[in-house]
Amino acid sequence: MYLWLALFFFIIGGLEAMVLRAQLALPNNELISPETYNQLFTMHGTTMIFLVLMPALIGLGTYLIPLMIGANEMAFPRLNAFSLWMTFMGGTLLYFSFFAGGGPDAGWFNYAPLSENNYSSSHGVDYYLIGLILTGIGSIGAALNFVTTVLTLRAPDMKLNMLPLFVWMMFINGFLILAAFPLLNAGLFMMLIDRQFDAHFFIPSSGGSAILWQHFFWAFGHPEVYILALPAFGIISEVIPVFSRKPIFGYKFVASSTVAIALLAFGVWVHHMFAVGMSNTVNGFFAASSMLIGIPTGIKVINWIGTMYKGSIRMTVSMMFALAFLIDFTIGGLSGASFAIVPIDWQLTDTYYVVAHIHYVFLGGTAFGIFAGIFYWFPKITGRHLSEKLGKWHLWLFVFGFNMTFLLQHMLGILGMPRRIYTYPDLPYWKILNLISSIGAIFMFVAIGIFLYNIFITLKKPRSAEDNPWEAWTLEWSTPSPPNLKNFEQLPPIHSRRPLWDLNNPDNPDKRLN
Amino acid sequence: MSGMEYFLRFENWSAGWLLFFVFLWISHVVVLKSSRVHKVCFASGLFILYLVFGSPLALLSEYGLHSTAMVKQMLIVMVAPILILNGVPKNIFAGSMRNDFWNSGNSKKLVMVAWFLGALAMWGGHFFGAIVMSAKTGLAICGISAPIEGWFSAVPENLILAVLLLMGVLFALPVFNPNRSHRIGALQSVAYLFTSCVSCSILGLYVTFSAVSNATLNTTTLRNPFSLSSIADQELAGMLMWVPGCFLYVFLCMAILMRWYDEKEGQLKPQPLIMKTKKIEQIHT
Amino acid sequence: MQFPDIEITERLFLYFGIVAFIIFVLVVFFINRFTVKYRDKGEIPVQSGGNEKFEVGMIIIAVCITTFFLVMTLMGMKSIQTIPDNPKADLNIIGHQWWWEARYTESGVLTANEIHIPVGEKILLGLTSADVIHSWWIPDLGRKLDMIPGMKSYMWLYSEKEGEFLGACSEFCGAQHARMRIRVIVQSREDFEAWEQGQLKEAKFSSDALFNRGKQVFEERTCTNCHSITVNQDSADIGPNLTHFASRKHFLSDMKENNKENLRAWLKDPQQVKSGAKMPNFIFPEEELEALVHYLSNLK
Repeated sequence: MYLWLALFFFIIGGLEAMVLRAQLALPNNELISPETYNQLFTMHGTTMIFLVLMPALIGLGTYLIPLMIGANEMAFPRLNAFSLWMTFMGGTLLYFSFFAGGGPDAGWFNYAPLSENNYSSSHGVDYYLIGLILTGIGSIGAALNFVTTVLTLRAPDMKLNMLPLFVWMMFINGFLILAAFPLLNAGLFMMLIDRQFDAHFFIPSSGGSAILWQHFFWAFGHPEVYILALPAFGIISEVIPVFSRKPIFGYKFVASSTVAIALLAFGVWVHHMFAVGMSNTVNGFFAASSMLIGIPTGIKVINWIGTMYKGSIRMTVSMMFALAFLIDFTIGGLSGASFAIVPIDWQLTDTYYVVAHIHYVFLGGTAFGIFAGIFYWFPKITGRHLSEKLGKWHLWLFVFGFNMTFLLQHMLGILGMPRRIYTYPDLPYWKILNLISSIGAIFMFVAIGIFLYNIFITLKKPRSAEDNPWEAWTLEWSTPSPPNLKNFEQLPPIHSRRPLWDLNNPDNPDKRLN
Repeated sequence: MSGMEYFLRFENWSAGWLLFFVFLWISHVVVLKSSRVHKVCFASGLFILYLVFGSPLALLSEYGLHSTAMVKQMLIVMVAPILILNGVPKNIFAGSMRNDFWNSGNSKKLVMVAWFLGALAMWGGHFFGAIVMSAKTGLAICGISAPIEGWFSAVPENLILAVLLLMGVLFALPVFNPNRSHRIGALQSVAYLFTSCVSCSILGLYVTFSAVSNATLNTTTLRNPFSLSSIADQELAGMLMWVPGCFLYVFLCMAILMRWYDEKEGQLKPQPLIMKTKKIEQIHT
Repeated sequence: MQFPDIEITERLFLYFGIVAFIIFVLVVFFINRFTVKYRDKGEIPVQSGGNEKFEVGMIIIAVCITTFFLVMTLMGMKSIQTIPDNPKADLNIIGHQWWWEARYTESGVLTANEIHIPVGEKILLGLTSADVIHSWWIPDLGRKLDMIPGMKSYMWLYSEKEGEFLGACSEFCGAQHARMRIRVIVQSREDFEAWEQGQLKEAKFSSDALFNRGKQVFEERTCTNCHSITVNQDSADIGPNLTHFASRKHFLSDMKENNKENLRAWLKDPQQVKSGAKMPNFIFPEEELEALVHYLSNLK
C-alpha cells in the first residue's frame, strides 16, 4: 500500500518537474506564470520528499523488517494502518489546496516571513502545514513501530548485533525520525498558530524571529536528509553483498558509521544557514561538524566497493542500480562536502549547484537505492520477476537522463543562476545548459514510463519465482514467494548474520555470534 | 602580548601543581600493579588535570574569559575522568563492599543518579562559574549578573573544580568502570552517553545564542591576551560545549559499538577499552 | 597584500575540486575494475568480512583531508568576514519585494537597483530587509549574505576592476524572485564622486509644458504615496525613489532597459510586464501616459 501510494505521488511529482523543466528550457519563457511556477516547485519538493521517498522507504521497511528478523507481523499492525492513512490524508489535503484557491507557494522549506499571512494570502500554506503535520504523525507512528518491532519481535536466536544491515539502518532510522519529526511538527504548529490565530512567532515586525523558523526547519531538515539516505544505504548494503556472493566488507564499520551519522546528523544543521549572517565562531564549528559527518559516509562507500573486491559479481538490474547509486551518490556526497567549506557555501548556496546536489543525493542516492531494492525484492513481494530487459532500458535511460539533467546544473550554479527562479535572462551559456538539462528530463520521463509498463506486464504474468532466486542469505528468502499471511511456520537456525548461508553451506559457516 | 606568548611564558606554568601530579603518577606506578596502557592513560589523565589546575589556562579565568572556563570544565568533567578510570586496573575496586553495593539491585537507580550528577556537573558547574565570573567582572554573563560582594566569590575555584572532577568520575563510572562486569551494556552505554550529549548540546545552544541577544555584550571588549570580544568569547564557549563535546561522546559511542559488534553473548573480557584495540593491532603486526 | 575575497573562494574551490575529482575517479575506477575482473565465474569466492587495518587507515586519511580543509576554511572565513566590533556601514542596502534600496551613509545619496561603488576600495555593506528574507549576491564580487527583516548583517564589498557586475537575489522571496536582479557599477573615484554629486542635485524643473503636465499627473495620481521625487527623502520607501530615475540605465530590478517604450508598457499595465509586482494598474488615459513617460524619462 505504501509503495502504491509512493508510486502514485511519484507520477504526480514527476509531472510537476516536467512542467518546471519545460518552463526553464528557454530564457525569458512565459509558459506558466510565476505564481504557478512557485506553487509547482513547492509541491514538487514537498511531494517528492514527504509523499514519495518517505512512504516508499517506510513501505519497504514495513514489508521487510518482520520478514528479515523472523517475525510474523509488525509490533502494532493497527498503528501501521493508521500511519499509512495519515500519510495518505496528508497528501490528499496538500493537493486539495489547488481546489481551495491555490497551492502553497513558499517553497518546501516554507521560510518565514514569506510564508506568513502578509506575504502569502492564499490558503495554500495552511494546507501545507496541516498536510505535513499529518504525514509527520504518520511517519512518527511508523518509526515507533519499527523500533518496537526490532526490539521485541526478533527471532529468539537473533541478537541485536546480528541484524541484517537493512534492518539495522531502519532501526537507527526509527530513532532519527522519532527525534526529528517532532521538531518539524512543533515548528509547523507554531506557524499554523501564527497564520490562524495571529500569533507572531516568526514575524519580525512584531517581535518574532524569522531565523527561528529556519532553525526549527533545518534541525529537522538535516536529519531528514539522512532519514531518506539511511534506508537506501541499507538496501545497497543488502544488494551488493548478495550479488557479489560475499559478505559485506566491514560489517562493523558500515553499521557503526550508521550510528555515527545518526548522532552527528543533529549537530550539523546550521550548514544550511551559513549565509544567514551568523558569526564566524558559530559557522566555523558547524563547518567542522559538517565535514566530519562526511567521513562515516565515505567509509560506507569504501566498504561497498570493498565488498566487490574478489567477489563473484552478477550484473542484475538490481546490482546495476546499486552501482549507479555508488557513482552518483559519490558525486552528491562530494558536492555536499563542498558546502561545509564555508566560503564556497557563501558563493554557491541557493544556486543551481544546490539543486544539482540535492538531486544527486535524493535521486541518484535514495531513488536509485529504492529501484535497486524494488528489483531485488519484487520476486519476494509478488512472486514474479520484473523483466530484466525492460529493466535495463529503464536503468540506462534513467541514468543517462539523470546525469544529463543534473550534472550541468552544477555549472549553472557556478555561473550564478539562483535557484527557484521561474525564468532567467539570456546570459552567456545559460540558455544552452538549461535546454540540455530540460531534454535530459525527457529521458527520465520515458524511463519511468518503461518502469511502470514493466510493473504492469509483470503483474499480469503467472507466479513463477522461487523462494530464493538470488541465493541470498537473510531470513525473508526462506519463506515462499510471496510469503504466507503468517510469515514463518518454522525458522532456520540462526547463529550468524547470514542464516541461510550457514544452512546452504554447512561445511563453511560464518563465525557464530551466539 | 599575543596569546601564544602568554602560553609560552614560563612563570605562567605552575611548578607546584606539576610536582603534585608527578608525585601522584609515581605513586600510581609504585602502588598499583598496572599495565603500560594503564600507566599511559593515567598519565594523560593527570596531564589534563595539570592543564586545568596549573597551566596558563588556570590563570586565564582571571580575565573573565568564558571560553577558557568552559574548556576547563569540559576537560575536568568529560575527559579527565574517562582517562583516569581507564588508567586504573580492575583490582582497585575489588573490595567486597563495593561489589555488594553494585549488585544490590539498585544499580539501575544508581545509573540514573550518575547521569544526573553528570548533567548537574555540566549545568551547575557552568552557571556557578558564570555567577562567580559575573561577580568578578561586573558583566552579565549568560543572562546572569551577580553582585560583586556575594558569598560565592569566596568559594575557592579549585574546590569547585575538585567537586566537578568527582562528579565527572561518578558520571563516567557506569560506562567506564575498571571492573567491566559492573558496566552497563553496550547499547545502554550509547544511550547513556548520547542523552548526556544532548543535554550538553542544549546547554551549548543556550550559551551560544544567549550571546547574540545580550546587547551589553556587544559593546564591551574584555582586556585579555587574545583580544577576544565578549560576544565572540561567549559564542566560543557555547560552541565548544556543543560541538567538540558532542564529538567526544559520539566517538566514545563508536568505540563501544565497534567492540559490541564482535561480542558473543556472555563473552565479556574484563579489560579496558583501549587495551582491546591495542591487542587487535598486535595481532595484525 | 590581501587577496580579494573572490580569489580566496576560488582557490579553495580549486583545491576542493582537485581532491573531489581524485576521489571520484578512484571510485569509478575501482567499481569498473572490480565489476570487470570479478564477474561471476560460477565459483564461490572466499567469504572474507573485511580488513580492519585498511578501514582504520582510510579513516585516518579521511581525517587528514578533513583537517586540511577545515584549516583552510577557517582561514578563508577569517579573511573574508572580519567585521569591526561596532560596525558602521558605508552603504546600506534594504531589500524589498522585488527591488533594492541603497543608501549611502556619508553622502546621503539614495538610489535603487543600480549601485555605484568606487574601484579598489573596501566598502562595508549593511544589509537588511523591509519585508521577507532576501539575499545579496554578486557572484563576481564575493560572498552572499541574507537580508533578514529585523536584523542587520554586514559584509565587505570590493572590486579591483571597473565595470558592471550582475547579481541576483538568491533567497526565494515570492512571485518575482526571478526578476529581482541587481547591477553594481564599479567606477573610478572621480566618476563615482561625479555621480554622487549628480544624485544630490535637486529635482529637475523645466518650463517644458509636457514635462510639467507629467509632474502634475504624477502628483495627482497618488504616485507620490509610494515614490518620492525629492532628493534623499526616504519617508515614502514603498517604491523606489524616482528623483533621478532617468539616470538609471535599467529599471524593474534590472529587468528592462530604461527607455520610453518599456516605460510606457510598464505604466500602461504593470502586471502584464511583471506579474505580481506591487505597482497597481492606474489605467491612465493616453494623454496622461504620454506626459508621465516624458516626465519620468527626463528626471536625470
